Amino acid sequence: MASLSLVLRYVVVLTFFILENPKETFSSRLARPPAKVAQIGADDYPSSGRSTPVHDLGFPDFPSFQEAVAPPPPPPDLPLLPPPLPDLALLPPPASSDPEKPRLSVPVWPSLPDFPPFPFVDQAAPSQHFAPRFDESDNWMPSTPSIPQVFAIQSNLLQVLLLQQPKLPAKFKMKKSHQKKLLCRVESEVCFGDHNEKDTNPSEIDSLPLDLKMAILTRLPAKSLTNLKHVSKMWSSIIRSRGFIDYFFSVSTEEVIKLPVNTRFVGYDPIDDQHKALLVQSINHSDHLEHKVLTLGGGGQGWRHIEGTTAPYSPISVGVCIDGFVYYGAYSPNRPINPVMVCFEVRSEKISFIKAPEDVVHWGNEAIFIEYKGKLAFDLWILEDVEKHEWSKQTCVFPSSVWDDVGDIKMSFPGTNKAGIGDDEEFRRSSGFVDKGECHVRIAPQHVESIAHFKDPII
Amino acid sequence: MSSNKIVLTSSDGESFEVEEVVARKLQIVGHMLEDDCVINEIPLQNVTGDILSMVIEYCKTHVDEEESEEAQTKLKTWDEEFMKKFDIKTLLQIILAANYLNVKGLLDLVSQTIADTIKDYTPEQIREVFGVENDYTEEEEAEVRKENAWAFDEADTPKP
Repeated sequence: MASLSLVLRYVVVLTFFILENPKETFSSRLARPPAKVAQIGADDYPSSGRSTPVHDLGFPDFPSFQEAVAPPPPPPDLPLLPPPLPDLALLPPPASSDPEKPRLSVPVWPSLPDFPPFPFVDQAAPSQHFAPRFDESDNWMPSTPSIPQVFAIQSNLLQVLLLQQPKLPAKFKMKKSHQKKLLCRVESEVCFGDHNEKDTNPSEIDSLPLDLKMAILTRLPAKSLTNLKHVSKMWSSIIRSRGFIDYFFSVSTEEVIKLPVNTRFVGYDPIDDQHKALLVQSINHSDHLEHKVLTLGGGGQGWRHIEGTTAPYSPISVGVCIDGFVYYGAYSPNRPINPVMVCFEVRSEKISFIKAPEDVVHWGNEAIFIEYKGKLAFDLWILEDVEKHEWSKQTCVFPSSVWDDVGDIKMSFPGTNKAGIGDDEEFRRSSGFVDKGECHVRIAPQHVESIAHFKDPII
Repeated sequence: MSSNKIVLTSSDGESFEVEEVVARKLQIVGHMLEDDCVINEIPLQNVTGDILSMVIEYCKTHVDEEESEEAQTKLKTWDEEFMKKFDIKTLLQIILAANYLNVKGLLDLVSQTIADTIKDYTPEQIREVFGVENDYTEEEEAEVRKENAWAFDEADTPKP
């Protein structure tokens, strides 16, 4: 009896793991789009944290760093295994299950979230023999289940769940080791194949999941890395890969510059390869504004005034830099009307205005502007045409990492660059921005090597 | 409420009774609790008892992270001393465990410690410690060496 209750507990835990993923995925505050899962191929096993298929190349492909993750946001992360359907318990028991083992009715999750359709439904059966992406090496924590029955039940459950994948070829049969890996994927989300088939000892670094290898290698000085290329082809391929280089340099060339608190706008001019900070402050507490510019790394030129005045306005949001322009929301000072986007051209240091929908500036500092397909987007609003001031509205779902906690305060300034590095929890963590309290991390798009960070920009 | 006890069971059957607030440092557990899975005993399949005990030790120490500089310095010193106890093989086990259990602070700490440990290793040492096979042919090796000539000019031979 005691062992049965333990078994049940395992099943509950496992079910939890399976459901944990979608739950996290859909925790975004924003509206969920209609499911965009049709393009996911049958052998692109949905994996967490990545919107791109993982290719089974000879060496790791760093999909999470190589692909620009600029919006449109990735389709919602999908659970590795299909969510249990309400009629799950009615499914016939797995054909291959050992009749001697106890058959359990599979627990049904009490409140099923509204899942997108299972991605495999409309897919033709893979023509090739289904081969899980995982290699044979035991790429997970050492584990010897102390109670064999428990593992058997887990296998049964997995088989039940796998049976729901329609149109799988009849020859699809998973070996036990693959089931273990599947389970491992559900749990740790990072185990993917490393193609080091000889290594089965989990204490060896080559058996570490790629994420962890990256975590270690990016903390090494450049000199060591040069040296470590000699270790083996695999190490060399990791160190040479573009994903690694981008990540490494973005982490190791960080600049921390203290700026006045009202310096809210930092832009990058791709033509002259310069970062500039824009300071907007009112003159003598009046509605009139002065604009000052600082060229970062500009040889101590200091702040320079921008000549000419603009109509008075109140900047109300943080800015985003896209293609050499910094954009930020504003409205006329006396009455909160005439919402506009202010455009600061980083290269020429000229300021202009774009009419904006009321909603765009309605949320003030709560608004987050991002680059979306090379255009400016505010949650749902996209500035389609800079000349004609045309906006379109679209529903976007942001990866939940955008809303990560920074210390106790929920704030984030998302951005991505060509390397796909966004301001997410992992990025802040690896960059040392884990302090409690307010933390601003700005990422200058399209310029990987000298990403500028601004930490506690209060003088 | 916070004095709620939770039992964590390792893959080899070792049980650890910890306070809920400590268990929550393991995000994998935290998520479960948030999901109202009323579980007092949580089996952690992928971690052995000896490694789990170290993770729990870390979590207990880091359970109240105070913001004061003094407290932070103290924690940092503790972290350093804590890491000194482990050899590289254990560190690799801990990093896997920290990843699986999702203990962010520990993951950072161990990554950094491993990096610091291996940074001055020669390729031969790395291969030895990590059991990596040198799959370069002599020609390929020569090529890599040539490519890296600038690095070797700078620092004659790698430090042992």
